[in-house]
Amino acid sequence: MSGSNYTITCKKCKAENPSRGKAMTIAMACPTCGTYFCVGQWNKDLINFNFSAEPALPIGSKGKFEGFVYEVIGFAIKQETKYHYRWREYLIFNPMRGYAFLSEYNGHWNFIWPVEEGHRRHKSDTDFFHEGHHYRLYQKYRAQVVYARGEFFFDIVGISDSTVNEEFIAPPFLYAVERDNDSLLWCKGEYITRNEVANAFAISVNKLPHKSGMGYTQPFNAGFKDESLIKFSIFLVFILLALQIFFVKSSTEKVVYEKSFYQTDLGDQKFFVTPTFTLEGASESLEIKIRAPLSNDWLFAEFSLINEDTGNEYIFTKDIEYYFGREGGESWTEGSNSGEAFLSEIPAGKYHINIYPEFSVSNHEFHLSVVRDVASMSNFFITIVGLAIFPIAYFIRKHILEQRRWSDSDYSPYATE
Amino acid sequence: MKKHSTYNCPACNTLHTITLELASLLICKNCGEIIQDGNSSDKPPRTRIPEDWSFLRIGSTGEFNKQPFKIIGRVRIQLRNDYKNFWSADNGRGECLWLMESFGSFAVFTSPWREYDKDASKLRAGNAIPVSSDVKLIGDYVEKSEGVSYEGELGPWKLFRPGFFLIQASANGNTAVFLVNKGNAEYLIGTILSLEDFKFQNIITWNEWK
Repeated sequence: MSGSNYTITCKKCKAENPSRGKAMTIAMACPTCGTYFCVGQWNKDLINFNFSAEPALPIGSKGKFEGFVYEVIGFAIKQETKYHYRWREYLIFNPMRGYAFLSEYNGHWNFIWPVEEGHRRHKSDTDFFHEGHHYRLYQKYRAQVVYARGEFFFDIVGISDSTVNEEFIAPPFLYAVERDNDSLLWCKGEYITRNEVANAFAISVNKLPHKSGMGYTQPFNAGFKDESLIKFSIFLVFILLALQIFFVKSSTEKVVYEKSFYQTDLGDQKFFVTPTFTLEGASESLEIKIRAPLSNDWLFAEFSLINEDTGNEYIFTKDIEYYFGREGGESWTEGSNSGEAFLSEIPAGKYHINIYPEFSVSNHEFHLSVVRDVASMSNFFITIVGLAIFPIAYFIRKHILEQRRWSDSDYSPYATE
Repeated sequence: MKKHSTYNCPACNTLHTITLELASLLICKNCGEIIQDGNSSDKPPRTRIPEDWSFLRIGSTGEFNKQPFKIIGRVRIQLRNDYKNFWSADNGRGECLWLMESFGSFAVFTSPWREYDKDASKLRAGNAIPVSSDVKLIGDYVEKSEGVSYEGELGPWKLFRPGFFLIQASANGNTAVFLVNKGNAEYLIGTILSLEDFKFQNIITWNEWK
């Protein structure tokens, strides 16, 4: 079944206007003279708007949402009474689902529909939790209709004038409550993209208003939830930790060479040469540990690990410093008596080390030990830091965008920052 | 009006048989004349159900609590900013259940009309409204009625003239609808349900919304 000859007579120009909403229509902007009026007997106001605009979604156009076809029945432009910003609301209707709204501001769209029950809370509350989401008060306002076209299932002008509105957001969702002495209407909404609106109405996205700024319910990232990112990051850290424990447990940490060196043994030479030592197994790590009895002193040495079979040379330096004292009644220390150099993937073979030390005035000795197959802690920490970069960057960016989202709100949680 | 009793329309003589154990009103399916027992003084004026987009109709069937029902009548209340269809349904045993519908939202009432013995002036939007020792609802809205129209066979109903107030209050899936007329309030209490809960059949399929 379809079609209707239902008409509503304009209270001003007396034009017989076909009514799409039939007996459900409570108010209408006359297509002939533009006068807004209510159908019933109780409200005899006739309103002429000093403003006109073309809706991006024409009255009568149809769009499909979640499998249901909705028809645009009415269009209104509302203006907030304090800051005077304007937004557009499309009243859409499906006989099975009832009515809903498409609200558009700065090219950002929300699909909003009435819900049976609100969320019980104290009037002073500015937030509540529902279905795992934390809804926070974004705006509280009064509005007036500055333009209306089409038909409405309620007196949109009168209701807008008399109600106080509150909107709570948990992007991409929102809850809106419209309150006056006689009614308390809760609606739920969800952000939808321009493309989704264009696809629903089978029109080009270019026919819709261009997007600017950040929508107040625009999700930061629809790809994953914050909790998922945190849980996944923690999971990866645990995996890395388990791997590190495995590597530490399975490393042999075999001392292949160890000796103390004294400056007096250098004589005229500028460097020490260790005896040949053998590194066994596959390519594995090698740790060179150096220790000196430093007391407010330092030691520097250059090392050259030489593979006697291939002639390959691994050159590295090590600088250790250890200082201590008292200042202002407090004792302090800086540095350490020991240090180590870590070489990964050193092939098996016969090696020796040339050591080029630089001694200070008071220290004249050091102790060297060469340990084969040591688990690297630095790799572990570098990987942890690498893993942390994405979540940290994500949350910093989110924080910045959240500040931007809330910059138009009188209830911004970032207001003191 | 008792089950199986028959009535001839006083206007067109069409024969009707009551299906409910207790019906309050019958509207002639042929000419729309209102048929009541005896010479009732509260006989409502004859009105036609206005044309709307309801997808339910007399003859639609559904399920409630896994029990089938059939819609046999309707009271349509035109409010200032809304409408309410109260669909009178026979549960197959001659008992009436009322389905309240408006813009795709549904509630079902199986209780009889009850008198609200508390202060009716406190039936306001946002107010806590106790209806029993264990059920406390919150007022959703107060709306004045502008018109009432009827069709089919109706279970027990309050035959108020337009001008009464309708108040709905809800909490935790429960809902009550109060009709307040000249300071007297009576109410039905029931449950909020969704369209899918009823598994409606034999409904009107509007081609334009396919």
